[in-house]
Amino acid sequence: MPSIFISYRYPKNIFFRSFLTLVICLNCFFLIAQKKQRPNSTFPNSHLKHIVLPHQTFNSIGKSYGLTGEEIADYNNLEYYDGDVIPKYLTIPLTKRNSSIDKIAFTNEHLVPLFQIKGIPGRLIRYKKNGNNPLIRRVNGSPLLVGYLHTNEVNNEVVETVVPAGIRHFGQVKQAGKKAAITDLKPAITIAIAVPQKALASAVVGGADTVSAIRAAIVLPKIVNSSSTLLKEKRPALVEIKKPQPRPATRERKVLFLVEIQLAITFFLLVIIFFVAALRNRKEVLHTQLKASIRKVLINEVLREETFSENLNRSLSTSDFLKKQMAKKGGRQFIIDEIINGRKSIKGKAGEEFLKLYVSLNMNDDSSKKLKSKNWNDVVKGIQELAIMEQNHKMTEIFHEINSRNELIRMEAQCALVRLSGFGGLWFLNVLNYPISEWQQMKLLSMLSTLPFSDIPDLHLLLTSPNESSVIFTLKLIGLFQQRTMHGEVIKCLANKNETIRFFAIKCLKEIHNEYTVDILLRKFATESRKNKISIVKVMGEIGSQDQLDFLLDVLSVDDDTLKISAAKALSKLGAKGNYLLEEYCGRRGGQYSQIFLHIKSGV
Amino acid sequence: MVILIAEDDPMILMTLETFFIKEGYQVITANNGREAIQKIEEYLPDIIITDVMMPFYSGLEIIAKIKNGVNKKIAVVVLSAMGQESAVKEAFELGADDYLTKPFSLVELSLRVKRLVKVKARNTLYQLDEKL
Repeated sequence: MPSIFISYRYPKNIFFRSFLTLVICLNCFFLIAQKKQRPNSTFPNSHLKHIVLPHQTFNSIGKSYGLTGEEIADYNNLEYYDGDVIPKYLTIPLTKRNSSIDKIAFTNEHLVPLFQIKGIPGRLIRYKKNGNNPLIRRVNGSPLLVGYLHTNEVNNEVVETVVPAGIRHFGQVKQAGKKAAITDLKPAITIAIAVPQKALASAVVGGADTVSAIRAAIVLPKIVNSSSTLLKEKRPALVEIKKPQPRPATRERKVLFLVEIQLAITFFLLVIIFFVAALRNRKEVLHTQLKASIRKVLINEVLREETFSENLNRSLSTSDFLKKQMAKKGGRQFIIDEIINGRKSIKGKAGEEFLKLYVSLNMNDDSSKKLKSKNWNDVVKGIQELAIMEQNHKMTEIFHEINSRNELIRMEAQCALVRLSGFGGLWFLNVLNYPISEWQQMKLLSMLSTLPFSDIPDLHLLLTSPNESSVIFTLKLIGLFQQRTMHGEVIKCLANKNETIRFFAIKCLKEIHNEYTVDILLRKFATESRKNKISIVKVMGEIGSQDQLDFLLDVLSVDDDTLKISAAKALSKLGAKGNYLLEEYCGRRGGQYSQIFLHIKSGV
Repeated sequence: MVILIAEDDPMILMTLETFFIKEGYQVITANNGREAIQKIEEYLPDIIITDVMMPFYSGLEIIAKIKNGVNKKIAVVVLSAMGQESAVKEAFELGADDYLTKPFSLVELSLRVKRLVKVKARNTLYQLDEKL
């Protein structure tokens, strides 16, 4: 919940997100760790060791221990398969399903006692129940019953049970003079396996004394051989252990320890997160207040009715706050950004005031400095600032960036020159070494389209530029602004070696055509490329007259389908006679031509 | 006369707020479209000056909500950096009363607002006259 709260309140903060990710990862790790622990164990971390006999499968082994084959395979970290088990040994988990401490058996279930051998701590041996208490006789050492294995069938094979050292089940201690003996066990009473002499001597049945005896057994683990003597003297036929109170297993303790560590780490991280969040929050609030104050001061300066210089002096003298902010690097940049923002959105008197404020605070120097930066972002920002704030005297500095290696700087410098001096700024086209991208051409044309037509300079020099993209851009410009005086220069471009330049020259001629244009284009048609032929035919449809009907009918008979369609479209645009001739021609030729006619007629 | 200004740029918002307060209007501001809609319902302003590009709801969405609702008599002036014909047409079709492209002049905006106030006052007078 706190994580959600933090992530909601500070979604943009990388620091917090990292911490949250760490906490979430830790949680996931511990959850997985806990999940891997095998649950429902009667004897935690204890298992049986099964000696695999020939032709035994996971299923057959599992069945004999009251488990499934998959469970056995999974417990041994093996992949389950339906065939002979390859490993020589398998460990069999002791779960609540297949073992119990109490001697309670269901129908068709066999109970096989589990013993711990004295002298081999941590190891149990199960034998087949055989006659009168064969278990004790055959075991080397003092066995102690710790529970029962529930099986559907009685196995003959010997298995070992491994119990961690921490697990002990205790039987009853009964005082018998100076010696203790194991007798019939009673519920809720335990007995130590290895009980020291002293403890045994002082132990009494049940109560706190029993507990102290057990403690003594743990604290003083000196094994008393007499206990085995005692067992030999009077051994129970069947030892029952009821309601034992096992100590937590080692694995459980480890998991608990890990969980505690995880909780501690999580808590620690949360504290840090909240602390840093609070600090950042406070900082953000202060920043917001500061920004609002700066804006207020700036707006008051801009919207003041008196003359600017008086305002500024008054502002600077009265507002120490603003002075302090200007002295700071970040504060100064913030003021520049806000002034530029204001200038971009507001024009008129208020806009002029923003401009004056920018100059008076010498912020144009800050922008100029950015042009010298090694970081292209700063250079672009500096160019933008100077252009928006109309710093025409900085044009030379901007001009140096026209042939910058960085395309973005070049683009920004080109836009800045156009913004600062309109059409006059286009003289960069003569010295441009790099091509102008289509996008940049569109951007420049868009900027120029807002300027008055009367300002367009003589563009004929630009048409002779060695930079092909500059020539193409100029042709577009001539077409867009319909510079008919440039007709002759554009006609010269039809002789250019570059096919694209010729293509744009044809397109441009459509916009600035005169009485000679059609004839010139018709003369060029035969020698032109396919692309340009199509372009000429299209232009004929726009600027041609009925004199070009025969030409278009000739084109209609060529093998090129695109040319045919272009000619048909051009014919349809040349009035009723053109349409009639097209229909008549297509009807006469039939087949494909009929389709072309229907295509044109439908207006597709 | 209550004016609601909806603009996500804090500098422009504060400039407009200060300017119209100086002009003698009661000004309410909103940083985004959602806040604007809430404040329209709360304060019922006479005129709304709104930017087009704003978080949550755009200026055009605000116009659509107002003009299709109970408060359709509120005059709306749109301020936008988009000067394209299609953008202007869309705003007027939705019911905008005026449209200014950025950069705009504060004086021009003020004059347009004053004209809308006059038109509104005249309409109110006509309605009263008709009732009488």
